[in-house]
Amino acid sequence: MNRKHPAYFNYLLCLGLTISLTLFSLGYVPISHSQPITSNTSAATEVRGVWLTNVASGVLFMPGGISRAIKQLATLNFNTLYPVVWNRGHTFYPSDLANQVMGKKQEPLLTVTHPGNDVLEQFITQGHDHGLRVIPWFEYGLIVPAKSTIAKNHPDWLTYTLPVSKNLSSAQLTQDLIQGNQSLHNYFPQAIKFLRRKSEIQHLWLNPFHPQVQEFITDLIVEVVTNYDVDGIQLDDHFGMPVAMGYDPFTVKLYQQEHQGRNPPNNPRNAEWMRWRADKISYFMAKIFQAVKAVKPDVVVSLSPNPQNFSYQNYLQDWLTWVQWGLVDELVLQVYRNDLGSFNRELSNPAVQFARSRIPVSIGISSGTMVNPMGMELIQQQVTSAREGNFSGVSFFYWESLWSYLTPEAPSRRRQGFQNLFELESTLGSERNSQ
Amino acid sequence: MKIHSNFPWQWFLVTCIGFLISLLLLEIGEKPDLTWRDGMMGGTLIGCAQALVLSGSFRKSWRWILACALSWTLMASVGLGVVGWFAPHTQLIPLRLFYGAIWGTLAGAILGVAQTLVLKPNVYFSERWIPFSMGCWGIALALGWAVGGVLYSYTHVFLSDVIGLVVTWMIVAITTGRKLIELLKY
Repeated sequence: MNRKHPAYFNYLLCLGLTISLTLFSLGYVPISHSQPITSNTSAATEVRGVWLTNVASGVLFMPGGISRAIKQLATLNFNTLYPVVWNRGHTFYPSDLANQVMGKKQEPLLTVTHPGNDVLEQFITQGHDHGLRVIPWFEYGLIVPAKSTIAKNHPDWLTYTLPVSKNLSSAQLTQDLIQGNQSLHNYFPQAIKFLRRKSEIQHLWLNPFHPQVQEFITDLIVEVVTNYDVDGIQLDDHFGMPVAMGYDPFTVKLYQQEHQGRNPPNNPRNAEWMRWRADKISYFMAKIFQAVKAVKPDVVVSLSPNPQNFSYQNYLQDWLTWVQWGLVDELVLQVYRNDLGSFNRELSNPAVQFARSRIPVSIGISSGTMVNPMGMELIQQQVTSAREGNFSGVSFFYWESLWSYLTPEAPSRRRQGFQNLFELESTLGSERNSQ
Repeated sequence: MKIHSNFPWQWFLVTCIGFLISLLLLEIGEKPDLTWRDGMMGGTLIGCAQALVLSGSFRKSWRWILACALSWTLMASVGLGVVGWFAPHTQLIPLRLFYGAIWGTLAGAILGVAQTLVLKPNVYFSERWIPFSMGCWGIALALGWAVGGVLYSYTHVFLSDVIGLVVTWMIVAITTGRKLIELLKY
């Protein structure tokens, strides 16, 4: 065959077309054509939140990931973001304090993927532009990996179990949380279990009674509140201490000082020993609350715990007392359940009902994880239940499982599902506000 | 005709890469979720990728891009759907096999006719491309959708269907590459 055109002509043609298509599609957001109906950022309307984390999620690291997420969430009438700012020994914003204590200003991968940029600032600026509240989330509370700088540099900051062990495997941690939160169907593939075992991180726990730990965590929170235009801060179910821990030298000495030289009971579930530790954590929470309010009184202190009984029995997190003491402005109760019956039972729990009588309480709903995908129908039923119970709203764990290939339904079907849930409520909310 | 011995390998590679790049720009869903615009975009990307290899073997290979883009746009416009980028709603494997065979054959027919027009000036027996394309797409889509369905029964995530479509495109890439080199040799 004769070839009239040189080969490079076709290559250039192909390249040109591909680039044109790429540029053409950049502005294309493949979701509904509706616009956000409300730009009201107060929690007076129903809370429709979502947690954005770095665990099993690329939203913080992918180019354009944050902008894309915020645009889509705003379009579907979400109104609250909980972006992670602290997780397992790293901050997700440039922190002078983190640099001072851990030798790194922020999570190293973030520095690579967003050189010179501050992702928390992006969340806040873009979130507010789209009418969303931004409440930075201190995920993993006092948990740090065994290999983290903070654990290596400050072994005296860690707390132990009896017999003396600092380690808390992520498998144990996950199992604890799962048992407290839901009865999972054991249908996920063995391959994923294997991969999880392989990638398991040894976790340690910072001692919440140690003054330097308290100062560090408080200063981190105050740093965020001081330096950023945040609507609030959030602590979660990991802001506590596993019931088996507290046998480190510092805590033992503290206990002895307050108990005429007696050692703590060997039984970690001894009622008095549990109460003593839980109260100490409550006092720590009070310090944080006061520190935040001293800087910005209007900033919301939000808490997303597990149900009260599980929180107290397993993590000494007595959030009911915190609510009674006025240390929590908003509560987002994690009710991650695979069936509607147990979900509804948690909603009618007396502790929840008490909290509702004092502060806005919304319900944290699992939109699924990789090993436990949640169907849209169950999500819709749970949202309906929360609304029927007159809760302040719903928040979803987590962004990646709202709509993606890791959900049971096609991403477009999921978006349609959330749009159906939130469109009507947003309209009603706007009407209520205008009246 | 100048044909590289590694043509089928190159063809396989560019087709698969083209499909994977298309996933960055358009989202796999169910049939009504993808529009003519998605079809045009996907078709153009696959066409571009394949034309890179074809340009070494015959002239006016840009027509291949046009044929692919128009075929996929047409499929979406006439209600067939952007077959290479959507997954069936049903999880029943026999139904997936059945519908995959039907939808794949129809898509293969449209692609086959359009691509034959491009092949005609370049190869003898170009008309053989149409039945081959129909059979190839019929089998590939049925198998891909079935693989997606089987994976879904284990994982319960939509990613299974995405992997199923990757399988479809791999089968298409292998079979069409081998057939093309056969035709181009004449």
